[in-house]
Amino acid sequence: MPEDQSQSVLRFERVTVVFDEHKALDEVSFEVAPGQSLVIFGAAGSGKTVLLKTALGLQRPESGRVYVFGQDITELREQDLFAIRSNVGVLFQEGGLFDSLNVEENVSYPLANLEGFNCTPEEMHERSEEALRFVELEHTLEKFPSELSGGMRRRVGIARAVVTEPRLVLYDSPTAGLDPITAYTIITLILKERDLKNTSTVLATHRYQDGHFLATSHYNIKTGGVEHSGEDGLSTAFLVLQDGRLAFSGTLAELEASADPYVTKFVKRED
Amino acid sequence: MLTSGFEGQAGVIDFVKARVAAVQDFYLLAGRALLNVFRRPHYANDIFMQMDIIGVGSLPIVVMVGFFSGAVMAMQMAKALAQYGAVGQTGQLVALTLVRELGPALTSLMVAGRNASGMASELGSMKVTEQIDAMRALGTDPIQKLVTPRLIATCTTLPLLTIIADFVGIFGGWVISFFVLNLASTQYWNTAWQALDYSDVAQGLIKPFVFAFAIALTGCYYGLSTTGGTQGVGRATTQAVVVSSVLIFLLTFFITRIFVSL
Repeated sequence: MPEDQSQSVLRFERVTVVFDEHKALDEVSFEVAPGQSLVIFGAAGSGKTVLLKTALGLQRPESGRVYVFGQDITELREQDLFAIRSNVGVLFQEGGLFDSLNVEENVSYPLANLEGFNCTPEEMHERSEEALRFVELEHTLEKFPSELSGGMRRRVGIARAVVTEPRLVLYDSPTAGLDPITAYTIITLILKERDLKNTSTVLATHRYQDGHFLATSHYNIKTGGVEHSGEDGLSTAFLVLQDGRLAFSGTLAELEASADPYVTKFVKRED
Repeated sequence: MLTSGFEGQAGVIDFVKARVAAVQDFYLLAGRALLNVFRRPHYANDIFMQMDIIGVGSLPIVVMVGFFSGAVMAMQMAKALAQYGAVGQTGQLVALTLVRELGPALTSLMVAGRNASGMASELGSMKVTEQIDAMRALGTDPIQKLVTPRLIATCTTLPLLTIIADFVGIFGGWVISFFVLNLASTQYWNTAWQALDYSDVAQGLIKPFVFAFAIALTGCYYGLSTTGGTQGVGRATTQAVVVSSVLIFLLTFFITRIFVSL
C-alpha cells in the first residue's frame, strides 16, 4: 500500500470528484499538518461537503490522491477504511444523528462499532457521559434526537465526533441555520476541542466570522475561557472554494488582502 | 434540425445509460446483501425487529385480505359451477386458486404496499439526513446493518404469512359455502384437501420466497438511492411500491410457466 512520508494528517493531491458529469471538486490540492486548523469557505454548492466526504473515503475521487495520516485511501476498500475512520471524527451538516437511538446510544455508537475500541458497556457509558459533559448536555442521555433543538443536536453531534478522541475532526457547516448565540456556543466548543486535545481541525463553513474566530482565538485551559490571541499565520490555513475549484489558499492576512472579486465578496460578507 | 437530432440521440443514450446503471446498482446491492448473510457481524436484533414489523405487523391486513378473497371466490365460483351442477366442487377451486396463485400474490402485494414503502421511506429519510453517511463514517456497513436484516426477515416471514393467508382464505370460502350455499362442511374440506398435491404447495411456497427478494431489495434499493430531500423520499417510496408490485406479477408469471410445463 502506498505510504506518504510527509507529516500531514490530511493531504489532497489534484483531487477531482464528478457527479453526473459535473465536477463537484476540480483538481483540489491542500495539506493539513498535525495540530493545524483548516478553514474552508465557500457558498452553498461550492463543494465543501463533497471535500469532507472525500477526506473520509465516503466519496471516491475520479482522479487525484487522498492521504489520511500518510496513508493513501483513494483505492481502499470500505472495510479497510474503518481503521482510518476510527481516528477521524466528523460532524455532518445535518447532524447525522440516528433517529432510532437515544443520545447516549448515538454518542457511544463509534465506540461500539469502530475498530480498536473494545469498550465494556460501563466504559461506553462513562465515555459518552464525559463527551456529553464536554458539550454541556450530560442531562440528555435518555432523550431522542427529535426531542432536541437544532443547536443541541449539533452539540450531540460534536460529542459523538470527539468521543473516540480522534486526531482529526471534520466539521461540516456546524453553525449553518443557527442563531448567533448558539452558533457562538458551537464554534467555542470546536475551539475548546482543538486546544484541549490538540486535534487537527477542518472546518467547512460559509460564515466568515467562524473562520476568523478560530484563527484569532484560543481556549485557555487554566481560566477555562476563550481569549483573543491574534493570528500567528501558521496554525490556521484558509481555502476558498468556488464551483469546486480552489479560488484561494493561504493565511487569514492573505485572505483579507485578496483582490479576487469572489474571495473579496465572500470574505467581506457577514450574516 | 441536425443539432436537435443529435440532442435527441444523446438524450436516448443518456436514458439507456441511466437505466443500465440502475440495474447494475440493483444487482450489486443484491449481491452484497446476499453475501452479507454469510459474513460477520450479524445483527440478530435488527433481524428480529424487522420480522416483527414485517411479519406480525402485516398479519391483520393479510388475514383480512385472505378471508375476503376466499369468501368472494367461493361466491363467484359457486355461481359459475352451478351452470354445470358442480357447486360441490367449490372447495376444490377455492383451494387451488388460493394456494397456487392468489394467496402468494395478494399477500406479497399487501407486504409490498406496506413494507417496500416503509423500507424505502425509512432508508430514504436516513439517506437525505446523512445518517447513512454517518453509519459508514462510524464503522458500520449500511448494507450489512440495514439491507441484509430486512432481506432475511422478509424471506422468512412472507412464506409464513402466505400459509396463514391461504388457510384463512379457504376458511373464508367455507363460511360462504356452509352459511350461504348450504354445502356440507365435510364435502367442502374434503374437496379442498384432495385438490392439492405437493407441487401446488411447493409452488405456493416458492413464490412468496422469490417475491420476498423483490420486495426487500426494491424497497432498500430505492431508499438508498434517494436524492432530493423530502420530495425525493416520497418519490422513492412510490417507485418502490410500483416496481415491487410489477415485479411480483412478472415473477408469478414466470414461476407459473415453469410449474405448468413440469
